[in-house]
Amino acid sequence: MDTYQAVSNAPKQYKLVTGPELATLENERFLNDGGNPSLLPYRPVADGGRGLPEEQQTYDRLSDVFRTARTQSYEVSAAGGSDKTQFYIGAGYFDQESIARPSKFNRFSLRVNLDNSVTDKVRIGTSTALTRTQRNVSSNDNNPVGVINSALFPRTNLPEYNPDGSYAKYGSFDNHQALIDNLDNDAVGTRVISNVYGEYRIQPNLTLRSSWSIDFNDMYENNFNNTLILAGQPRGTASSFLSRDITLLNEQTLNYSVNIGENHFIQALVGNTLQRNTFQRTTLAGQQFPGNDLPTIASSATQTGSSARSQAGLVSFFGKATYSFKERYTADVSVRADASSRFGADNRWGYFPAVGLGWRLGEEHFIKDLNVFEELKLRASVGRTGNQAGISDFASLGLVQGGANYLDLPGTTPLQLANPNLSWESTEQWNVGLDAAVLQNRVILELNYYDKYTSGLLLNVPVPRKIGFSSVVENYGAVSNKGVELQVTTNWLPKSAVQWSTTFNIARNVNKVEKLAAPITAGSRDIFRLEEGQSLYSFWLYKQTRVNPESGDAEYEDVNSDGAITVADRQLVGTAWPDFFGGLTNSVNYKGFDLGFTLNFERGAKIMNMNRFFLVHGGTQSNIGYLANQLDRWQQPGDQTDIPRLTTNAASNNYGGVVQNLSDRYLEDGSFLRLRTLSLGYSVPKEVVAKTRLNSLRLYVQAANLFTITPYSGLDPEVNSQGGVANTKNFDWATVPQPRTFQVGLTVGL
Amino acid sequence: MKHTLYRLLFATQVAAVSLSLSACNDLLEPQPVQQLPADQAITDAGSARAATIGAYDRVQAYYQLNWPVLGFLPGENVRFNGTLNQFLQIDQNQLSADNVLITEAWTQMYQAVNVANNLLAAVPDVNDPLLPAAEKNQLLGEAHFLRALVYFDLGRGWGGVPLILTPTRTKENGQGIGRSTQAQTYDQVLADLTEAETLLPDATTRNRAVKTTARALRARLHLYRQQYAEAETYATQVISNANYSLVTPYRSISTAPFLSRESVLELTFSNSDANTMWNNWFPSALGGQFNFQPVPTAIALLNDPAVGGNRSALLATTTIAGANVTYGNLYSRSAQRDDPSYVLRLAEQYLIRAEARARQGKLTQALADLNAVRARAGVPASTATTADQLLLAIENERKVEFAFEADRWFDLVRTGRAGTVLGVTDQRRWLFPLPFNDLVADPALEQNPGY
Repeated sequence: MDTYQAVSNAPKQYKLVTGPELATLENERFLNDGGNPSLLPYRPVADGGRGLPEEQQTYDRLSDVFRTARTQSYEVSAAGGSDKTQFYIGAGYFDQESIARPSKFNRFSLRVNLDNSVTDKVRIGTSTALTRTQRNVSSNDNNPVGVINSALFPRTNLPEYNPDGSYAKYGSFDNHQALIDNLDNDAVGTRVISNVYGEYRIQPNLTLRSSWSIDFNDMYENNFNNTLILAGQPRGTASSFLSRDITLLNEQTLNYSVNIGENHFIQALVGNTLQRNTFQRTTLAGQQFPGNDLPTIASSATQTGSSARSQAGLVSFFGKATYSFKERYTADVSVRADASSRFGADNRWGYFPAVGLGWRLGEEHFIKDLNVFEELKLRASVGRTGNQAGISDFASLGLVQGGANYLDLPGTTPLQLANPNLSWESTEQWNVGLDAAVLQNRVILELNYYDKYTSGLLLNVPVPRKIGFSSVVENYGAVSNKGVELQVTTNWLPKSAVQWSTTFNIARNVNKVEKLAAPITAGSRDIFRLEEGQSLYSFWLYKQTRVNPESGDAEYEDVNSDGAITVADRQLVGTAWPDFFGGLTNSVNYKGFDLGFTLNFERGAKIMNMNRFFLVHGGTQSNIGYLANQLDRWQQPGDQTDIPRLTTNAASNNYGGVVQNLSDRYLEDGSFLRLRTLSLGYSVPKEVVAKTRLNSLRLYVQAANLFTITPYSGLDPEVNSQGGVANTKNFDWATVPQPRTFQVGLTVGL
Repeated sequence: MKHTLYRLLFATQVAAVSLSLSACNDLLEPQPVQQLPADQAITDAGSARAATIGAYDRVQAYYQLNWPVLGFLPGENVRFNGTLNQFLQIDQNQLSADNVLITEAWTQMYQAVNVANNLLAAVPDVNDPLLPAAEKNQLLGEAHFLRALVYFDLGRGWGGVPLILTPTRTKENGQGIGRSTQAQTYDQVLADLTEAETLLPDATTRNRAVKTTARALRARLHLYRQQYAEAETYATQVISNANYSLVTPYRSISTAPFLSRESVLELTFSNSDANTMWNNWFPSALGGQFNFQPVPTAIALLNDPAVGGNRSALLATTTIAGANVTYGNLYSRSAQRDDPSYVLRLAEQYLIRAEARARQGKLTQALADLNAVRARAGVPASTATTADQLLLAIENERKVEFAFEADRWFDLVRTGRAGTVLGVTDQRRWLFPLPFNDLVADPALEQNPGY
């Protein structure tokens, strides 16, 4: 039995301006725009203004959203059986509140495994895992009516409630408290993964195995937006989704192994798999409800529905052989052939061979005689792999779709262009590695170098829109990844009662787009751009050279030197790839006590801080407040800063205009050093446990994310709010940071 | 027991192997159930009708938000009060070539062109007894008309554009087709309209194209090309059609069930094909986002009994936190979501003819046309006497008559007065930029100067 209880909170908070600061900024912006000094927006109420800056209130919405959240987990499992039959059963319950209200999540899980040896030669078995999840989610990042946005964006001097007590809303933003009180999104997931297999030992060293499995994944989601939140305007809206994702998989393998003499060992395997994936989704929506207490779609005046269905198949054949000689030399050879229904009829098959060699140098006399190495091994491999992910099931077909309706009559329009040449994206790679142990196994070293070249990238390639389409899926371009990985593990006191080990790892990857006929932009506002010769996840922005200390206006690099700032002056100004990253894990065990920590670090990756992009706007956004960073703006000649003068004047390009605030001043260094976990545990000694009729007992406390050292001004340097948008990374937009968590746990063996 | 199991296992293996062979084809060739192969899209009466509806759907897509915005927001009646930079740029007449609204409009418009091209290529070959010749002609006429409408809008927005006239099958289609001149673009519009007028039925449908619809757009085309005699001729054909008349009060144009006698072409929406334009205009207290705010001078003009008259119905007022807030109310069907997009209406035909006549020195007749529109709005007759005064009066009339429709910007660019009236003195800014990413993807295209 396993259980823990934890509490979490946000380790860092957004810093917004106060009401008086906001009013000061607004007055300054008004004057900079040439406004009449006697008509400042924040002047005495008696003069028709909104009150002097110092009279403004400050409303703290963010504290209403972030909370100290509770997590609990319980797991029970049992295993046992006889010589012939083994079983495992397990059950679990997990319940977690998000640190941002009102999201929460819970999960029940159940697992049963059963294996039976029918005869010496035949073995059959089955396993089933059942999971039910339930979540109440609120949307974040790219959504003006998400909870975090609705607390972060409104101006801090504006009240949260109207004088009549109703929720106050400003511009396109909802009221955060209205969302917290009224969000009614309920998503229930049911997933069953079940499998049966039979194994027949034809000869002692020849085994045939067949397995059949189903992965049944259902998601049933019901949302009701009542009239108190914007999404429920004007008379309530509701939606219901039922999606069903089913994967059927059948696999056969024939496994052969033999020792020839004392020195030769051969293992070989051939097999095939058949896989079918079906996805279906039914959507129902309702508008206009009789009241907020009748939330089911059946109660609505207008109902609309839709459905989607897609299917894909994958057929594979594979073989693999391993040969080793005296456990000193090993060779692996494998080859597989895969056919995917997603590709053009004549281009479905991909062939992916690989060869690996290993040489345990440490077993050779000339190394043994050195008396330095306990272990020394050289590894090398070369091979090719394929990828079919990231494209739709019918990506290669030219299609026309329905749903293009008018006058409530059915209509059709072209959906996508055909590409019968569409085929596998493939990666050719080689790597070499070295494993060594020295000083009586006190120091263990692993070193690895790899070089990958991926060609035929599956990309949405832009086509001239004049032909009526915006992109087509193609095998387009190539990208390379080269990197080195090093891991050193040290056992400081191998012969002591105190076991103390430390593992340090560090890695570096260099990514380069090797071939791309034309650049491709990606993500919101085209902030990412793929270009030949550059790396993936490069940010495409205007490079700010300075804020002119005399005028206070931002200046940008005029890349094409035409004397004007136009979109042609956008350039790649950094990437989301770190220069290097790694971690340090330390553990000490002594007489039942264990103490450990894990540190992670990353250096040199850039993050686009969209919260600053939106909330350092110089006055151009009349419904959005300011981050405190805006206070660093240029105010008078001689000021040195990277935040330009407040103004709504488009021609200045300070915040709006052609540049649209896409300045690299919001692109920040995302380097960090983070204490991922720190834990202390105690296992009660066997003899003590035995007296209580238990088998084992362990107690522990653990803290996660205790501290993070980073120059990044956002809440969390490990962030990516554009999950699901291809070719984007490190894009921070009102995301919930990873929480700081304190956890107490208990493991009992009965 | 043993033997049974062996047999079972053996049978499973045999089944698996044979399945592998037979299932391969089955597994590897799933057929989409939601879509049709592109070359089977238009084969019979039903599919030809559906594809025609699809063409309207694409036109509806760009007329719902993007096209009206590009028409009114660069003008002086409405300011943008939201957060999105693409709208702010339009409001401030500071477009950049990566403006996403420009890109989206351009995309939707060429999608509409492609649907029309597909129809024009495939419908003539459809041999289906269920598709009589008259209906076949109607569908072809509609395709010609819609293509004309899109190319006309492209021409007045961007200047000369690439003229794609055949359906797209591969991405190589259209390769090398560069921009034509604005005159060539308008020539294509004229060719399509001429064809459409021949093919379309002589009926009075207000949300699909008929002969009168083609004539009304043709009147506008001739006005834009300063062919005043033809503009007058075609506007007269529309005005003299007894099925069309100015409706009073002004507000009844935009009152449910819509399709008023004044409407020449409006794009109908319904709750299942919703127009959410109201959401941009309504204040948040009424559930909207208040992105488009009528500016105080526009509010004053519309509320002035001598200027706006009963066009003040374009505005509405609500109380928020004790203060009166005035907002645009042309798109007001928040619950039904069936506000139409207004494309062509009779008041414009009167003003087209007024201007065409004034330009030809027919001042009395011109004044009469202008006053027809003013009388309907309940404002006193115009006192303009000279041609210049008349032209200015017509310009100002359009400003209030089409305050929140896709007109003001294109009107002032057409007459060369965008500099004087709106202060956009850099004439290069009178045309929109071509989407930047399209220039990257297409060496045949050239950007408008100044971007």
